[in-house]
Amino acid sequence: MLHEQIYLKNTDQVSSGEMMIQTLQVSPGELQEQEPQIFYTTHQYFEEININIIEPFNQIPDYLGETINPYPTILNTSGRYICLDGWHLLEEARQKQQETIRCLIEVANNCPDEEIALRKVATRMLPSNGKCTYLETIRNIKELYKILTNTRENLVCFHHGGHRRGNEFINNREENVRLVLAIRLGKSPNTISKYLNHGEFLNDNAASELMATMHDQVVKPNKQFFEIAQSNKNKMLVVLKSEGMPENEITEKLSGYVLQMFNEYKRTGRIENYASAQVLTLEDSSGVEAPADDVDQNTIAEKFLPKPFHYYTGNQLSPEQVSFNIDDVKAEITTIAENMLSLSRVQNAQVSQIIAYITVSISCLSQCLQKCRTIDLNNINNEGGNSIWVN
Amino acid sequence: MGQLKIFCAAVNNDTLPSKPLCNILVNTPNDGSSVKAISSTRQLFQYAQCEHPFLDSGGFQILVSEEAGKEITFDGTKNLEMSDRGINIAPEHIITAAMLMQPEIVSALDFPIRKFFDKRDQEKEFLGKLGYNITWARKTAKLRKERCPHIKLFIPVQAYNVEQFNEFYYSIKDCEFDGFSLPVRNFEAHEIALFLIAFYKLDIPMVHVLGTSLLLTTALAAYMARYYFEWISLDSTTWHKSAKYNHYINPFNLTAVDVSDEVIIDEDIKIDCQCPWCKGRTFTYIKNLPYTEKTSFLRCHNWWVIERTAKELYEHCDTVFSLKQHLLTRYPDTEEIEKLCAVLSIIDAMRERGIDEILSVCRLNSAATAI
Repeated sequence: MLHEQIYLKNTDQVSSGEMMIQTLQVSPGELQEQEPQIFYTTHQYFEEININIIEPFNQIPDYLGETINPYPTILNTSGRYICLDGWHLLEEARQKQQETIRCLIEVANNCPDEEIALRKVATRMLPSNGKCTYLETIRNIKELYKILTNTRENLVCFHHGGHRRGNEFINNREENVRLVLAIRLGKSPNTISKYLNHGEFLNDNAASELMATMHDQVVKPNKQFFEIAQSNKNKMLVVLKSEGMPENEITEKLSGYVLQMFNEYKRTGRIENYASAQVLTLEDSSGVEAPADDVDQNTIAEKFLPKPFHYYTGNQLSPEQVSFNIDDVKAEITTIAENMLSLSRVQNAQVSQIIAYITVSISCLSQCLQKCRTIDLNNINNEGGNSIWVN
Repeated sequence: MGQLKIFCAAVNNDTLPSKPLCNILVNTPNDGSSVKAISSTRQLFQYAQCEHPFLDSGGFQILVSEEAGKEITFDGTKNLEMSDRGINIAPEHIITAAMLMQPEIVSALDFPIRKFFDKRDQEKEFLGKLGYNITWARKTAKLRKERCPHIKLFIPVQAYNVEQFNEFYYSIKDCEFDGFSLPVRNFEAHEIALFLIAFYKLDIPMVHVLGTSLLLTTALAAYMARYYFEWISLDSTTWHKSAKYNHYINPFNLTAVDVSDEVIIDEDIKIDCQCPWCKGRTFTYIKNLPYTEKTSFLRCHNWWVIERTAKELYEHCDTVFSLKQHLLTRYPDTEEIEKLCAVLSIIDAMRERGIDEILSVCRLNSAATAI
């Protein structure tokens, strides 16, 4: 007797329906022929169908967030029409007294509930065309970022969904590009930043070289590799920037290092060369966790609400150089002297009053002295400069 | 014309903000507590191509332990130890670490005074720690003379005012040492100026100002380095701590600017920093870097601007007026600038007078300005 058991050939490819039914050996010595059955999608099409024939599939609850598509996704299996995503669109259509609705229908025969469940979950987890490599993701995000940063189109039109209002946009194109990327690619802004960071200082040649050998190698330049390499990249960057190397040369150098690091990673599964070869006393660079918030920043509002950005841009109006006139200084000295003289003539001047006068006079005189020195120095500099040094 | 040096504190191989890094300050409890730690520190000096290694004693760590209510012992016959329970440290540990580490400068062990605003509390705190500070300064100086006389010795000054400093100095003046180190805590620049002129009048050639990178303090140090001392140095961990909290140091006034994930940045606010890190970048770029990269970027930028600012201040120190004019272009608090420059003007004018006279006029002037 044959028992049928379902197993996944490749969990990453559920949506393409590669689930197989395999006949198993019933008892020792009784070898049976295997008959694999694949629940593959035979075809997809759009069609206007009657709302009432569409069944919900409740073993997997509907998604809280609405689908980004303007139509429901329906599985047609063995004559049944089962909603995989977009049930809220059916509800809306019902409320509007519609009898039919336009749906994306995928056809796969004889799907059991397990297959339907897998497909429903996969609608929001696996891209419909499968996944690409991490390196391709990095390269593509970098390109997209460039394209969107340079576009003349209003970014609002690339924003997702039926309501392209762009309410979340702020007066900052870079942020808005990141926002569009995050929403359109279904990633968090932090993940987008990470992709961009991993792709920074990696030139096209290095990316192509890594890409070219991708098919025949077991160890691939995956996320783990880029995360390990990043620490080294940061250290090398400090050295190169300190040397005052131009950006294009830094990119060239770091791209070379990434290739070298990948060769090492392939051989050993680790990266130990470069700056990390030094004896390291780890501090915060390896830990990616942000420090605990200060107590005074601990209120919910302060933690989650956006903060304004303040930046002091210097006092442009203040004159960099002032020149003093010796006659003005003389006039100041005269005033000080006259004040002192008049104080000395006051018969009943109190000691505290005298102290205050003297102190102010000393202060004013010391400033006159500084002005004289400045005039003197300007004269010397006009005759021929002197040199100074620090550090 | 003396030298102005900015020391990088709390640095290690992973957090190096530039290479070479010429001036590095390490401390005995963290970096000199074992042969392994000392070896790592020496490697750091080598890797960073450090020209002026400075070994601080670890007084700050004693203060931290004291404030946390931990056990503090000063037993030179036992190992140097710093743990969650407390700290054991003595002058012997400092000199042993210095012998193994071979820094250019070592500072004597000190027991830092805490921050108090009430005069009576200050006096009590000063007197309570004066004995320790005299004993340890003398002992460190003696051990240094015996075991590593080629390493320069700085003696920390733990006093709230110049009069207290004089009291301390009276008890250590026969010791051999090369300079003073001055923890600034909540002193303002014009107050630090009074200590510096007091040191100058005692013919002290070298001074290290501990734990600060404020613009006006750096300006004061620059001016004093130009005209009064052979060497003035400063150190701080601001470059590092600010980065840890996503703070970008403003290249004008050295204050912290928040670039954490929560800030909303108007793209019209452009970066005007000339550092190699900021060149061609935007605040939005910095804000959106992953945390590790952001702290790395900020450490490098922060360090660069602190060092560069010191250089620029030194270059603008031809006279008090040129310094003042320069400060006015980069610092919004004109009152603070006025205070500092007034004190510097008086000090310059009365340079050859006695310290008591200078202090008296400076203080009267400050009081008059305050009124």
